[in-house]
Amino acid sequence: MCIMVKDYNKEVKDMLTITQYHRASDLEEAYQVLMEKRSNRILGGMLWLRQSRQYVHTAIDLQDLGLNQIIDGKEYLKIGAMVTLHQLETDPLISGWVPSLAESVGHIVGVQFRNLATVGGSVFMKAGFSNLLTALLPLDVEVCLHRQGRLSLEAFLKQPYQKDILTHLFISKNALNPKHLSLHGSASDLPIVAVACATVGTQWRLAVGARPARAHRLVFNRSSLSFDQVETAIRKELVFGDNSRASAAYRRAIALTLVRRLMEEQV
Amino acid sequence: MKTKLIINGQIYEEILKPDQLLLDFLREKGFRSAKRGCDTSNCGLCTVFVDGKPVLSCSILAVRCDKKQVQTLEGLQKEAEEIGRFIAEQGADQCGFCNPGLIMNIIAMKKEKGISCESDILAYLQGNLCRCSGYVGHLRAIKAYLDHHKIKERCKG
Repeated sequence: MCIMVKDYNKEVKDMLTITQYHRASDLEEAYQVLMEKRSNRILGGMLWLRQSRQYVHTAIDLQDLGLNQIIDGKEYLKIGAMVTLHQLETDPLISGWVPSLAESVGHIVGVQFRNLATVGGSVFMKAGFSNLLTALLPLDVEVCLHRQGRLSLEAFLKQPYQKDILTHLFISKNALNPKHLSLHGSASDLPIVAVACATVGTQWRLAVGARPARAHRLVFNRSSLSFDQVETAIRKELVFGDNSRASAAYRRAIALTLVRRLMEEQV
Repeated sequence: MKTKLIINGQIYEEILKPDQLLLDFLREKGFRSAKRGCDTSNCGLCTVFVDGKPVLSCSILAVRCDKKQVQTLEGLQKEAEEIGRFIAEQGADQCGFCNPGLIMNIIAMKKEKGISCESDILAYLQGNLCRCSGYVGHLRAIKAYLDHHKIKERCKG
């Protein structure tokens, strides 16, 4: 019989390693340090980075740059990249204009985790399981990158990963009735599937995330909206996949149920 | 990296490794109430306050807390004892390993606005795992503790 013995000493070496820490005093300086070495990284909440076994030469901290604020613009909300998920959950501007964002992050692990996890980290990762990305996608959202400037969230998600610093999100106040729903195996776990919708002008927009691939947006005409039409589009245009959480068929079935609930609430 | 941490009101100035986690630093200094229960940022056993907010000390670099106020359960003995008594009264403890983290988050919850019903309590404490109990005894204890304080406030008012 063979008994596997874990080598704990080895495991310690396999953890995340950081050799230098840099607290940036302005964005350009942070960008310069980021570009110096391939393994230099911007720290968000550091929650996913911590789970990894990466080697990071210089970890760059943006905490002194005032990016932890939610600012009320005339037509949009300006959200700093270092705003935490718990801030999103409790901010009156968010619950007033886009309560779907608060709903979407409320499921994530616990308050202590959400006091660390940042909006910038969640968006820049472009993770498939992100509730927040799913909730953002039906809205008119612009991502502000230090080097690249402002571009739409959809365009940002489509472009390949490249080093830059996400500084702000601009969320337009033009969305009516933004909603988010997701199904979890247990309350605080990653979603099995997530859906979100909003009405913007003449459009009704739907995003389906955790398929398990990244959230995708479908746009419908508000005046001729019907569940049958939405169902056909979901079956035809969205690809669902299998992983350890759920099968593609299960995800599709759950997505349809959640979308039906969104639409019933909407009317 | 030279770092100044204020832990329970006491200043610690040290040269720290950039990848040292706050949890490991705290335990090194003898603050053993914070524990590593899962190592996947899930269990809430390592909860401490950084500038008054509950965070997972297993997931934050100690150097990021430079010049910040860190509070552990050792610095909150009065509240800890009181909440501990409510938990014991309900017989909710089994092994008690998760209690320090849970008590920290109960203190944080009491400070936070808008916690009024059972579902608020469950939502706020969902990041504190207990592998012995079904949380039922804990919930009874927490409700009794919150009620006790509401009654105290009403008497004052």
